[in-house]
Amino acid sequence: MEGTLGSLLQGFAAALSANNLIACFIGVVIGTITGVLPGIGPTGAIALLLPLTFGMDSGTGLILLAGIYYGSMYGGSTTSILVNVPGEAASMVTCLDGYQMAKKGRAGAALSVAAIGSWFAGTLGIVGLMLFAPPLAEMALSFGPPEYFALGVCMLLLLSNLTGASFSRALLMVLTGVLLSMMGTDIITGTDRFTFGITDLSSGVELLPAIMGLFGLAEVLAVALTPYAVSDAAKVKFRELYLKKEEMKRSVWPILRGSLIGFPMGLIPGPAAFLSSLLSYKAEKQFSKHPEEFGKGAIEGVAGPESANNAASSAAMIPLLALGLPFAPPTALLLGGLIIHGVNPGPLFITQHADMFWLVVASMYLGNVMLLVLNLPLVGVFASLTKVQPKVLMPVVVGIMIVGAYSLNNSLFDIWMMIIFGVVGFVMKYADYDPAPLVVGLVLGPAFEEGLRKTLLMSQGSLMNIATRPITATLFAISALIIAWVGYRWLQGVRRARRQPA
Amino acid sequence: MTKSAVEKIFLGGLLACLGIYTVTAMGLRIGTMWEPGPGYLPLVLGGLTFAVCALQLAGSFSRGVKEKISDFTRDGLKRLFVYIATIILFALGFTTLGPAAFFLLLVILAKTSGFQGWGYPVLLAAIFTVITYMTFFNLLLIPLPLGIFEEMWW
Repeated sequence: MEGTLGSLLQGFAAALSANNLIACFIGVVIGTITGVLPGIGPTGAIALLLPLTFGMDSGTGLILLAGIYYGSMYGGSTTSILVNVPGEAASMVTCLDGYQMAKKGRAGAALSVAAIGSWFAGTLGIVGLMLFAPPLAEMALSFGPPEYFALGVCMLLLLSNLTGASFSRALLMVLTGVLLSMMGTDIITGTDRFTFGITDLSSGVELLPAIMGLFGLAEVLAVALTPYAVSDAAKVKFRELYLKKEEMKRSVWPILRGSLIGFPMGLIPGPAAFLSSLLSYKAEKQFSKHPEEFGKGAIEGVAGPESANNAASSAAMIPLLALGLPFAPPTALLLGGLIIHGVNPGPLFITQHADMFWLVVASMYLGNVMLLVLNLPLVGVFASLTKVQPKVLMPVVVGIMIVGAYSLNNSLFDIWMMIIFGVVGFVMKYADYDPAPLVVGLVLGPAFEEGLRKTLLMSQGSLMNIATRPITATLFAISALIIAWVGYRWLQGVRRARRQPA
Repeated sequence: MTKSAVEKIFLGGLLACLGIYTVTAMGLRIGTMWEPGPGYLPLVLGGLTFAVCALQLAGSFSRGVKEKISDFTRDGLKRLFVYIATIILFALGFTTLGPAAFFLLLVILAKTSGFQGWGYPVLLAAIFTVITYMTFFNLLLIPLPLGIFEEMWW
């Protein structure tokens, strides 16, 4: 415990430097703005702004990107409450009662409780990150190539549920991502693979243009096809932000329960922030003495879900920083950001980059306080951003993406890659295929391949040498269970379809 | 156009790419299971992914639901086409025209996005071009292409 506190204090000392404070501030402000703006979610914003971190050292860059991630969770609630339009998916549930409260003239109270709940849950999530991530990483240090490979198989199967959509679709995307990651020079033999004579492909498919195309340009093209409507937001004055005694009393337990629901949910691969807010809303409706008020402006319906989605997004940083595994689409991009900065994420991250880990943890504490202090007085300013028209925003976003992709290697090739991925991402959007599992495959692919090849070499011709290792065997057993479960559900679906009359 | 049609186009294209990938993998040294070469995993995974994709494509033919995509309006598709064409043209001319290409890209995109008249698009594009070039050259120390303006800048 003493060591943890000492490391945390060192983290604070570094996080309080001018550079890091500014990066944290910019990150949370941009995060809030992207949470408010329709059309650009946290994933798109991280993709867009990754190039801006190139000039920074990796710790500062990660602080900025993490700030965007958890800042967007705060911003999303503002539009849900004031305009009835969720800025990002996780705030969808907040619309139900938040907007009704605004219609009753209690928008200020709804915003306050959302901000306080988010702050509390976010802080609780960071405490969890601080306590659970280091021991988890330490445990993973005993892993050899077979354990890494087994973990890779297990995670690729688990992460096929990253978006909560169809398993087979997500699996197809994960596999496609892994195949893309194998393009370029082979790490073991130095042979060029799938480069088709293009020299730029020797270094493989770069993450940044792929991410920018799939998440950024695809979104811009979708907005070009159907520009979003600009909405008028309810006006809130600073003095209206106070909570009545009764509202405060009714919010305490929902905030606690929401945090406790959201935290473990963040440790499960999938759309945890959204699911946890939904779960919290259901729980609050059951626990409430006034269930009839839900959907008509119950403050519990704002306090619980907002706390839950923030706890889940903080908790999602645990598998990312402890094991190098992204359990949510934005964390997949944070992982990409780390790799672009030359930091190797994985179980060795906390041991080899302890200073960076504690710096990020400390900056998250500071960022959460900044968000609380910023969001309440500036809520009017953030709400007015919903009036930014797509005709202004979209050309600027395209401009940022193009120079961002170019600046990676000062090469036009990356712009071309971004355009290709952008068009593919656009088609995927309308074909109902989520690009997040593809990015996961692209990020985890190299480690997966290296693990497999080293494992096969180590096995000396016998699979028993691998399967009898306890951790490997457990991980393979979990993988088999996942496959069995998916197969069972598929069979159930087929039977149900057969039973239904044509 | 229906969602199902877009899905078929996507899966058809992906299947073709996976086919090329798997065939190309066969040309690499495969090795054995216990001593895998650079083509081993691409071949195994390529084949597996090809099979998953083929099953998905077959499934898309058997699904009866044909939900129309309301977003595909004539105006919307026109805007989309102009966006893609402008970005491609920009990529072709960026190294030669430098900031002029960037400026033109922004003007055309702003105009396509719905600005009436030329005043605002030109102003927006000019301001953003200057800010971007200044930021990248002076703050981030990343040189963007100057093209025909190379001598003028220095």
